[in-house]
Order: sequence, then C-alpha cells, then structure tokens
Amino acid sequence: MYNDFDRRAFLKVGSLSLFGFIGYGDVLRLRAQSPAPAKRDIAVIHLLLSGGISQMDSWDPKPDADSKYRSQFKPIETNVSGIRISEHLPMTATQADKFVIIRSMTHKLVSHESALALICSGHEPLGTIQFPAMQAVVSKELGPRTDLPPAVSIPSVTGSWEKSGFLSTKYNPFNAGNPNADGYKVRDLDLPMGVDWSRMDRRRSLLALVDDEFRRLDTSGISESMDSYYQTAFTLMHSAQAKKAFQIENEPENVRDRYGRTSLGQGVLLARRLVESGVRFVTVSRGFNVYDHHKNIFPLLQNTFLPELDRAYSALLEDLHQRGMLESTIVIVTGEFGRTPEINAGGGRDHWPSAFSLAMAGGGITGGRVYGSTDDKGGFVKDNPVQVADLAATLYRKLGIDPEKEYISNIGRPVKIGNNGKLLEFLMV
Amino acid sequence: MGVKDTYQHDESEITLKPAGEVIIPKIKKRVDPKYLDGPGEKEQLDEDVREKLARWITAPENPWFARAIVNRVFKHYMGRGIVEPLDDFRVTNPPTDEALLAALAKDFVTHGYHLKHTIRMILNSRAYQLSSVPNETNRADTLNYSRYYVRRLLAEELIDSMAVVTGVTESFPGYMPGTRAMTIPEGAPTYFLQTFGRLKAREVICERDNSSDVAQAMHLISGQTIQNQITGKDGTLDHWLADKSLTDEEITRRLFMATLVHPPTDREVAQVTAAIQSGGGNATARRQAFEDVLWTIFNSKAFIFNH
Repeated sequence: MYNDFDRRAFLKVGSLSLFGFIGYGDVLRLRAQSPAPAKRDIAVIHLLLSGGISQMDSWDPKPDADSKYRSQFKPIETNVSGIRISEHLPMTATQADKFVIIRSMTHKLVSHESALALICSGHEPLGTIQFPAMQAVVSKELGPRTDLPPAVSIPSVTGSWEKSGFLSTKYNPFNAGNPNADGYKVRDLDLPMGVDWSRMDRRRSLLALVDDEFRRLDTSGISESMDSYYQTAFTLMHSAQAKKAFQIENEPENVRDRYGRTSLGQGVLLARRLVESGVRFVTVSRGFNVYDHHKNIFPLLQNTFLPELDRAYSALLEDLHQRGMLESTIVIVTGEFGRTPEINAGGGRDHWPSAFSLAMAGGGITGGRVYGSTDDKGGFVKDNPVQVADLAATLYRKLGIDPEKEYISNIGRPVKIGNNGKLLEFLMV
Repeated sequence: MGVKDTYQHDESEITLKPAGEVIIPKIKKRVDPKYLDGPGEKEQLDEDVREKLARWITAPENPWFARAIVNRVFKHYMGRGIVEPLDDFRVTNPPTDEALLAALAKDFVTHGYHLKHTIRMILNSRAYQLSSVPNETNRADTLNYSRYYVRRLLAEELIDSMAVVTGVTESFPGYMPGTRAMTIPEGAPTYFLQTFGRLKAREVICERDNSSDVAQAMHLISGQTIQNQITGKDGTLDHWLADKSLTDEEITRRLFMATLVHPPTDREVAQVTAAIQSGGGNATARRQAFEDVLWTIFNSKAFIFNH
C-alpha cells in the first residue's frame, strides 16, 4: 500500500541515470524493492486558490456545453494523450505527465470560510470545535526538520482556517511575507540597527532572570508556549540556513522570470526554496478570496489569474523534477470549491461545491492521469466522488502520519485527525 | 445602511440611508423594517432607525442584551467568559454559573446600563483580586475562577503601557501624535497593533484573536516599535539619566517598579551595573544598559501578561 521510495535512493538512481546506466523501468523496479519509506521526507506545497477557481475554465473543460454554461476558453491537448485542459494553461499542459487531476472533488459548503476550513483541515467546521489545519497537524506530529519552522504560509495565512484550531498556537504557520515585494525581507528577522548579538545575548540573559519569577505562577502553559515562540524566533534570527532560504534574490533572474514576477509566482519559488531547506508544509496564496469571480470571469482568468498560475505551477513542477525533489514534494492546487456551470448576468460564476477540480503532483504519485468525472456541464460528479476528508486522510498517510490518531478537542470530544476519510488508493501509486 | 467603497484601500464609507426598508432582489418586493419579536413600525423620515433599534435592544424586557454585554466585560477582566465562546448563547452551551450571570445582568440593568458600574464591581470582587499563583486545590481549575487566570495584554494595552513607561510618543497614522491606541475607534493602523490581534476595519469583533505567536515574539525582539520606544529621546529614561541624584540602582528600581510592580532582585541589579561598567561606564554605556533593561521588561512575561 505504501510504496513511496526513499529520496536518497531516488537521488542515487537519478545520478546513475544521468550516465545512461539505468532507465525509468529500472527506477520502477527499484521502487518496488525499496525499503521502508522515509516518511518524514515528504513535504507539501499547497497553492491555495482562495475564492474558488472555476473548474470548467481550468481543469475540467466542457466545450460541448450549451452557451449558457460554456467557457469562452477552448480546451488544449496536454503532453498526455486524452487529457485536455484550458487553453490558458499551456505551460501546465506540457507537465501533465507529472500530475493527477481529480475532477470529482465534492462537498456541501457554499461559504468561503466554511469551505476553506474544510479544505485546510479535512473537517467540516462546527460552531464548537475549532479543527486544526493540516499544516498545524503536520507541525505537531512531525516537528521542525531544520532551523526553519515546519509550516510556512506565503505571504501570510488567509484566515483562521490555516491555523492551529484547538491545538496550541505554537503550531500556527509562520508568515513569510510577500517575496515579490522590492527588497523582500522577512519582517523583524534581522537585529535592529545598533544592536549586535553580544548585546542581544546580554538582554536575553537578563530576560531569563526576570522570566524565572513568572514561571512559578503559570499553570496554563503560557510560559511554555511563549518560550517556544521566543525559541523559534531566536533560532530563525540566528540561523544562516534560514536567512539563506528566504533570500529569494539569490535565485538567477531567469529562474525568477520563469516563475513569474507575481506574488503567486515568487511565492511558489520561495516555497521551493523553503522545502529545500526543510520546511514541511508551505501554503502559497495570493491573498484571501482573489479567485471569487462573480463578475467578468473570462477576462479576469484570461488576463491575470490563469497565466500567472500557469507560469508558477509549471515552473514549480519542472524545477522540482529537475532538482530530484518531486518525489519528495507533494504539490496540491485547489481552491475551497468550484463555480456554477451557469454563467450569471454579470458574466461571472458563483459558488459551487458540488463538483470541483484539484491537481496533485509529486510525492510518488504517478502523473498523467485524471480521476473522476463530471456531467456534461461540469456541475455534478458523475463517477468516483472524492470527499475532502478522503484527501486529508490520504495525505496524512503519505506523510507518515496516522489518520486514525485521535486528538482531544477543545470540548473534550476525541477527534480523528483524518476524519474517517477513506484511503484514496489511486494516490498511493 | 449604505456602504460606499472609497479610493483608500480596505476602507469604505458607511452612510445612513433615509429609509430602513430592504428590497428582496428576486421578487423585487419591498419589506419594511420589523422587530424580531413584534410588529413592524412605520418609520418617520426624520428619525434615525438605528436609534429605534438601539432602544429595542436595550429595553429592560430584552433578556439577552444585558447577559451578552456583562459576559463580554467579565471575560475581558477575568480571562474567561461565563458563557464561552462569547457569542454562543444557545441552550446547548449553558453558562458555567447561571446565578452569577443572571445577577450581573440584573445589576447592569438596574444601574442604568452603566458599564463603569459593572467594571467597578468586577474589579472590586474577591474573584478578580485572587492571586494567579495556583495552589494544590485550584491548580486544575479553568472554569470557576478559583484563581486569577493569566491573560495576555491586548495590543492596545501593550503599546499604551510601553508609551506610558518610556514617555516616548507613539504615533498612529491618521491620528494625533500621542493618541492612546485604546482610543482608536476601529482598524489597526500599525503593524504592532495588527500583529498583536487588533482587527482591520470591518472585521467582525468575535474574529479577534489575542493569542501569541512567533511574529509577535520577533517584533518584540527586533521590531522597530520597541526599538523606537526604548531609544526615543527626551523620555523618562533621559530625564532620569540626567538627574545626578539618581544612582544606577535607583533607576533600575524605578523601571522595575513602574512596570513589574516589584523591585529588582540583587542579581538583576548586579547584571545591569556590570553591563554599565563593562561598557566603559560612560554616558553611552549607561544609556545602552538601561535600554537593555527596558527591552528586557517589555519582552518579559510578567509585563506582557496580566497576572
């Protein structure tokens, strides 16, 4: 069932194949023989298309639908015969052998906030329980791998759904800021002018004396979590590795251009750098609700949203593949729901959770496939429906986290982190 | 109410429409305003409908308003609401102490809805004044206020407290220099306020998250806000340093008393004076050493948390 293979083994294989000694068939054979998976080595990059991108105009074209529903965009062929996507994803089309398109994602939540909570946690939100986002669970279960925090959101979390819920806030993702900004720097990462480390160390030793007194009062765990924030902060500030990881300006100009000089493009590039330096879960968004195209959807998608996504996503897959990182990095592209097949009076499409698409690549998943399908308008799932909980449970399994594990929630009720989701076998191969 | 977007990012102008009716878009039908529990009222054009609504909400017959407000005030000072979460008053989420909530609500109504009265009563209560140091019998309690529950100062409280201590003016864009953050009606005009949980304009109050995180720690450690506060000229520190009658020990003691409300320990004083000496004992070394004391205090849990 679990047959991802060791990253190091892959790198070895990769370098051998450079000299032509070994072909892809051999890789597959080696994969079958490879020992227990290096569970902790898989990272996740989630391109969170907050607002809900239209499935008909991106991953699930319906060129034969009635004009009331039909996209203005034509489908194009990809590098995998039979798989067709929107004409405004041409670079992505050349990478189709690397990803699976799930066209049968489905749920019932029509508000952004609830649906985002579901997509990020695998649980439908409740009034009483604040479920932790997957990135927070990953932080808790796997911890940091290097000086960098285990979970990072670029530019910042889009809302509470990316946070730790009923878990300690120390599992909240770290906000990296917008790497497309001129002179990008992580805020407050450097010491202020006129303060060097020897002075900061003096301050810290005095702080340790003063804080000592307070620890005695505290039974709520505040001291412990505050200490962990200060620990994380000082580790980051001290770390040459962390500083280097955030220095996106060290990327060659042509690489930066290839990803696109947009906040999404540079965000995705920064995500690659962070994963390379040991971050486990990176969420890249373009801000809250920007794909909520109730009006003028076609010009918006055609002029801005699809081209920048196309550039950023295809660059990432290409780059991860070339660096031998794709096998150990899962890349997910999805919003919180899809959009109505019917085009509204304002030339837009409205919220639609009954069917939407999700693209997933890497982490040992065989690309070049489509899973599930929708009816002739793209509005309802025809076969192989996939619930978000199934996706969450499968993702946890791939990361080496037991989806059956129970947390005690804020109201004392035990909650399975994988929300009883079914294992999606097609993502395990 | 009408909402008009303005040219400024993230800001809208809220205006009062002359009439309170709504049109149901699908059937184009006009609906007059109506109370939740009673008949519709014909509005007079010269009256602000919000005033009518306010009267209805605060009518002594309305059992919900007083309970909701006193619960919020109670949580603000006690760290936990009698009903928690604050906005979940459904029967499935009963108060931890119905008698207490009912008594507070009744008292609030009979005293003419004066928040100050309720606040004064809470602050004078034995429960509020209990020590936060846990003992064997109340260590596990997180519901019954058997000890004071430690809580982080709000964004506004933190920055205002710092400015009071340092005597260095803090500025908020769009407001007069020296404005207290606590008096800013809405929005989070600085990064400090934002990152410590103040909401942006038009965000819903129950979304406010006053927990701590790494970004806050980093901003307290090396952010410009604290740096300005501790290095700012002509504040309390400069006055004390210029006062020849004050020894280094005395200045240290004053800084501790003004912030942590207890004198420094001998070890703490020793560390401060050692830092001054190792810096050469001159004016710069003195100032830097006391800047370091201020930094330490502003980063200390005893300062950041109400306890």
